[in-house]
Amino acid sequence: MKTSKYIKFVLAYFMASFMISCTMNNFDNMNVDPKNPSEAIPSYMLTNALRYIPDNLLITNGPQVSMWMQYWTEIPYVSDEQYNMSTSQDFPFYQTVLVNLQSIINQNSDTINKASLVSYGDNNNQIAIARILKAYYYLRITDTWGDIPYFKALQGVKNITPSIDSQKSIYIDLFKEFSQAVAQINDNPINPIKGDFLFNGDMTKWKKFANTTRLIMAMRISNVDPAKGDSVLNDALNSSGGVIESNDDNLEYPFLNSTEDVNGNNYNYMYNWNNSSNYEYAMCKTLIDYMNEYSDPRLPYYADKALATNTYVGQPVATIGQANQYSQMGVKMRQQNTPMYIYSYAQVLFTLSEAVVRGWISGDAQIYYNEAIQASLQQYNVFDPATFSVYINQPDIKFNSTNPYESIGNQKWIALYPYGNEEWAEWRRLGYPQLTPAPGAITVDGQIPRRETYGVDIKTLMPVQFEQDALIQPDLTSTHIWWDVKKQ
Amino acid sequence: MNINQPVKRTEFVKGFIHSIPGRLLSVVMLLFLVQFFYTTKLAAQDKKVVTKTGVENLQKLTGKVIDEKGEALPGVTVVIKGTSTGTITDNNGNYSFPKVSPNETLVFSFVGLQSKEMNVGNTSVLNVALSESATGLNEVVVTALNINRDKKSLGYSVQQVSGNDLNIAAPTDLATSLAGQISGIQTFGSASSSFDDSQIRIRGVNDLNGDGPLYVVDGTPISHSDIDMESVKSVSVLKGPAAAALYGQRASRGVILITTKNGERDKPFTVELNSTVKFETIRMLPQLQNSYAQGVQNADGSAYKFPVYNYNPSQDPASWASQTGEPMLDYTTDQSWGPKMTGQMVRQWNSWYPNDPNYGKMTPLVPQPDNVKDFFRTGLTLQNDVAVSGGNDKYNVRLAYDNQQRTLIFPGSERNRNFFNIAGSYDVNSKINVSVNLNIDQDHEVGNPDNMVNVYSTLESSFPRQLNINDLRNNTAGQFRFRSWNLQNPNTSTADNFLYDNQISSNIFTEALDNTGKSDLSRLYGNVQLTYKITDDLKLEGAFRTDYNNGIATSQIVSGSRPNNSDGTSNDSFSESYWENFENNYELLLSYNKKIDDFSFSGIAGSNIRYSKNQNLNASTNGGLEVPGVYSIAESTLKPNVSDGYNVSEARSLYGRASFGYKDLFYLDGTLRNDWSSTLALGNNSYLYPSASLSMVFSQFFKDLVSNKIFSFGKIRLSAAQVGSDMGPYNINTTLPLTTSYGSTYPAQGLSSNLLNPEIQPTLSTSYEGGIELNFFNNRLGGDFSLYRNLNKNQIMQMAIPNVTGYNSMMINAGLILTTGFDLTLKGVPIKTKDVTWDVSFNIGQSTPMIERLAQGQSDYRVTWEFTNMFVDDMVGKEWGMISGRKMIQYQAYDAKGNPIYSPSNGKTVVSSTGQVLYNEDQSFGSALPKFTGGFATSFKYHNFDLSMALNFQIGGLYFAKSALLRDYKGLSLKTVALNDKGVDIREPISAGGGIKPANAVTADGSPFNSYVPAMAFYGTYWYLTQPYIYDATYVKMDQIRLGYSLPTKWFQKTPLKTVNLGVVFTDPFLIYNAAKGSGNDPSEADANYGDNGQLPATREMGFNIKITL
Repeated sequence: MKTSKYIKFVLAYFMASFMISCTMNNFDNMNVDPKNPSEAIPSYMLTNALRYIPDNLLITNGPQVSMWMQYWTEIPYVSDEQYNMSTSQDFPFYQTVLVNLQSIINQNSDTINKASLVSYGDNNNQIAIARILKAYYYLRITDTWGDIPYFKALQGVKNITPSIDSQKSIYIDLFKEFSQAVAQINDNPINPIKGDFLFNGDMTKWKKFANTTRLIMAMRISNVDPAKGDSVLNDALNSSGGVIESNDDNLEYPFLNSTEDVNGNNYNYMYNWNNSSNYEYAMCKTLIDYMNEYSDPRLPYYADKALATNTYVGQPVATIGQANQYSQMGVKMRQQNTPMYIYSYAQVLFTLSEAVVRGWISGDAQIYYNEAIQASLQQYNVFDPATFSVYINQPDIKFNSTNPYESIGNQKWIALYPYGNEEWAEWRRLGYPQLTPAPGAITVDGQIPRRETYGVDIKTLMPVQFEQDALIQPDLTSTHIWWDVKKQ
Repeated sequence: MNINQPVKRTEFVKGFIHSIPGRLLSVVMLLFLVQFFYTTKLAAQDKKVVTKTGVENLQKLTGKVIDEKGEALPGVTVVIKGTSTGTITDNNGNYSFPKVSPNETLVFSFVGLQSKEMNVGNTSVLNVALSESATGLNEVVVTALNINRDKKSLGYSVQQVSGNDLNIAAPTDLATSLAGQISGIQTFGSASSSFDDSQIRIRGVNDLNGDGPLYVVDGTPISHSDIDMESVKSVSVLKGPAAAALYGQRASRGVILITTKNGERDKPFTVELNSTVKFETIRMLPQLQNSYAQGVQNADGSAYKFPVYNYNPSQDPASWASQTGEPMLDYTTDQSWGPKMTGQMVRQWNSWYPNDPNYGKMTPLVPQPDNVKDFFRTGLTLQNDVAVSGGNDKYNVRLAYDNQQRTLIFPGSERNRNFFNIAGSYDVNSKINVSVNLNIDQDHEVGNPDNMVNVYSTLESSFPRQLNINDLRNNTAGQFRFRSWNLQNPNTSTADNFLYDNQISSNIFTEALDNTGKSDLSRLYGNVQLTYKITDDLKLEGAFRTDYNNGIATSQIVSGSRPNNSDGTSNDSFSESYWENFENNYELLLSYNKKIDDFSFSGIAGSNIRYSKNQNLNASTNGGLEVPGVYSIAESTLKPNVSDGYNVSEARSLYGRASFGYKDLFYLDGTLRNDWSSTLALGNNSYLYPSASLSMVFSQFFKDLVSNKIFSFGKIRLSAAQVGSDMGPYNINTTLPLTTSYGSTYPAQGLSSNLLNPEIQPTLSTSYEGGIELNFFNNRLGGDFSLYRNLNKNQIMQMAIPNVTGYNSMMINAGLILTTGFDLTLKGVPIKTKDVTWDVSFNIGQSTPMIERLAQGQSDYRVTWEFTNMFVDDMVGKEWGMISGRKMIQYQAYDAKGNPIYSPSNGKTVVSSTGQVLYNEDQSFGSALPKFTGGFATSFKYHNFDLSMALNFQIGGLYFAKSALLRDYKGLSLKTVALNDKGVDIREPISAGGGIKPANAVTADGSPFNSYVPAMAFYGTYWYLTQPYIYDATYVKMDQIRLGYSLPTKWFQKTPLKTVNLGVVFTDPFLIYNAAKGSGNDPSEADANYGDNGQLPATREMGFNIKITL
């Protein structure tokens, strides 16, 4: 019968395909993901870690802290300004940055394999940069939440419920990390660091980064442990590489323009938020009114005039508005490639002025103060000796030697614009400027938060640690963190 | 692949032809055609021979077929043995052959009765009586591996429903047809107005994520539940692991076995035509207020003032100068807290567009109560199918084609599907049989409403009440087909800017008709099988099974139509994805059956290789298109975004079953299976699991009762089983994916956020089940009850871990879910007479999946996140799927020592000093899963009329209504126009007695809160709350109704028509009860596992159906 031929053909095909499928596929190697690398390249890991610096400067849950500090307001919404915090918002950076920095440290500490990594940069310098960055990111997390997992964190499966450590112990360790990292730096490496788009492997800048951070941290504990603050501040000033000593030393995060960055992933955040076809934020009334009142020369740089009125108008806190009624972020500040300041000379000078007030260093607090304002104007190219002199001699601007913290607090608020995270720490420590809480504030006390509450991650995934370890109790926005002990 | 040269379709076709399934398909089709024509020719030759030899004494033959009671049996097949010549008895049970040879044998067959063969001989009248099976209940059901088994021999629960019972109202979706028909299942997950199929849960959930069962068509596992319902012969549901043990790992959540129709042996060829037309209309829409227009209230609660147009010569056309001072609406907002509509003359959105008839005019501000309803149209489903089937003693075959065209109620949503089904079996000789079952599905979709969700969510929760839908539909001039009502402020922007830069919402017609998504999907699934009968007792089967699909999906956004793209622009864009997925199964199965005296034995031994591969390529344009209107990846202004995916996995298995039976009394089954999986690490990748079951037909002990027909049948059953499972591929070694680079010269990389683990072991689920089946009164009343207990331990899960570990999640084996419950099915035939038959069936199931344990130290596994701070959690000690979120704080007073004390304020809502409701996060409200599910189906036949219906119900479970929350927030719900306790409209200024005084509210210190809050501010805080939007999800829903009439056969005796049935059908006609009425939605169609996630509207279909047999 003819049909049986076809049957045989099908049968043969069956057998053949059966056998092919058994032999062609290697069962053991089948489970290797062909689309993702399984090896770490330290320079790629470093680039990844650096890319989160703008987040460290502006973002916790959107740029909301900049709104708490009443620099900006959200045009069509009010909830962020009323201190609403999304509970799914957990600690940033651990998974995206810190574990990768830890991996760089571990790889370069591995006595057997580290030699193979020197082509990415001197092993010690790779470790030093990773330690500095790690400490820098940790500082932001602890200043936002207070007590956080630190010593037992980043251990993956070895410890999935790391203890929550006290902010005090974390500060002590961060001081140590910065100073040891600086000491570890090899000034004459054979292999420059790769992947460092921030400082192009300039190790002096890394030293200034570390020392300046330590200087600012020292002042941050001035109310809780002035003796320690004093010694750390002086140590930072005298450490190898020193701190920022002029505007030329300012540490900036570079953004790219559209020709350098075709996919637009590395634009200035302010460009992403406010550009010709999209306006999410307006300038806040609090800041605009203050700068208007004293004819602050930085105002034209910080803000644009409102389209509707051609004047500087800020949007009142926690109101719903329209983009054209209010001043936008300054157009020069929100170009695609306008850099952001990690630390500026003005910031150092304000710190030194306060150090004089506190008797930690010698000098004239008012001179440092005036120089700080001058540096801030020069930083934004709006310095002119005559205008400066008028500005500085207004009674409310002039250094108030009876309450120097008010002068420093108010001026730091202006100089640190738009970096709400940094200013929030200064505001909590100094008590100035005096800000009125948003109408309709949803915090229990109706006040501006002193910290962020723990995310749901901590509460549900490590409830034991949340209950037992955290010294910060209760878990409220009104609870003060370790160094936030008293307003001056 | 060069991205500038998109893959051409012909290459795809070529690729398919060269793939294994493609080649196999072509060989099989060829074989099939040859076989089909060859055998038909043979049959024709046979016929000729018959005619030749019978020339001398051919005779006319007539007769009547009756049942045991002597009643006429219509529809009995009568075939001349060995040929395909035959006929069917008429309504009076009569048949006739004009010419037949006395040497022939006639075969009489009818579903449910024993077939009979009779020699023709020299008689001219041959009357036959067909009898029911002697033992009373010989129901044969399809079990694992597509093996037909006697239901009474099974020690586990299998429930089978015939295609006729499922397809009451010609539903196009399997879950809709199963709803209410099978005990212990829940259908959910898709709105009736969408193309999607609902999902099915069998006996609650068995794993942390609540995944669904395995679908198997004619023995072939498939990755979807898109089946041509017209080709379904029966559906058999294997509810527990014992029933499904032979399917291995994927069966731990139950198996839905679909058997498709095939030709029958010794049956003349018949042609079936089936045609349905159905009209679809909206069944439920949320109620909206009709008093207040677009706008926002003043924060201080003062009276609303219309914004007024101010002519600005530098940016406005000169002709607008005279319009200064005209009142406008606040076009920039999508909220509805604006002015009360009293017919005031205002500039509405379309008055700014030069080509609009209302350009430059003020029009009365009046509500448009039907503006949401009028967006929709009447949907239409056309379904036409034709099937040819038949066979002789050597082969049987069925060919079917089904075309379904459906236009949804959403403008622009259309689908056209073609199903082809080829099934056949052929005895090559007495030893060898070859069979084929192939299904081809081609699906073309335009404007799937899933991709238009923002269209409907706009209508449902942010569509101001003064908008005239026809104004939006007709505003077609200029750069865009349809323009938005959500403009910028004319006072502050140039005319160009404010007209083209809409704020939040684009025109819904642009979304529906211009920003279209299209997809083409081709599926091929089925099997080719060879059976070799080694001896009468022993046979060997080899099968190749495939489930293959490939497809293309594209979507586009028209330039300027959508504001606020992620990059801050409103560019046009285009994206395109290609995919190819398949799973091939290669099977060898040896089976043995033997009966010696009172003992029977059957056994199988089998092996299986399952190889699956998924591959895709996705590209989307970036930064806009170079030439507007040309939708191609190559037109991308910036470098397009491209991604691809690839994974393969394989599992090899050996398995066996042994079954012993004694005297139709005791049956014992045991199975054993070992799997080796490529996705687990060496050393952990082999796992063995057994099952055992026992069935005892105890009615055999009560022969007296059985013989007097009160107690017909009784059986008890017990089973225990284990099933092991692996996980998806590439889950044992942590990778370091590339992350966003810094420009083009600094690539970046980071550790994957999911920590992988080579130590992962296979999951084991163990189940115990006991059941009883009882039938009474000659099987007129029957019941089937099961109790079960499933233990699922060592779940392989991606456990969320605190990100402070450096990872967001890790793969672990952990947890224990204990599911207990029961299923009950009751069936009855209350009336069965010559003229009237009435069947009823009722079922109910209960299941409680308890999370007994998660990972060490873990109390909560988060299944779902929602932006409104609502979550679905698996929490230790609670039922699966706890809905949690923000619960309003109730006041409790404490003494100085912190002990709770009495206060008149206790239990009252705590509000802030400004009247905002305070809440606690992460408070549980209860499980989303229902307590009971079930259904009721009935059919009633009277002469030529038939009436059938099926309903399903759910008792308990919670439903979170997100869109109701949004409606309150945006000022659209009826609540937002109520009167306050002073009898004043809550939207009136506070100074005029308006505003809301939160009911029973106290401030944090317990003192009563007596101020009034502006309505918008009050409902603005609701944005943060979960509690007010939690509903009880209990419902009773009518799923299908059909009223049919079979035309008397005498009307068309002289025509080729054999039967004609006309029907009126209703799908999802109405909800009988809905506890979640306040949500504005149908909880039976919840589109998320917690309720409404921008739920599409519920619809009903009404139509006509005609079935013709030739």
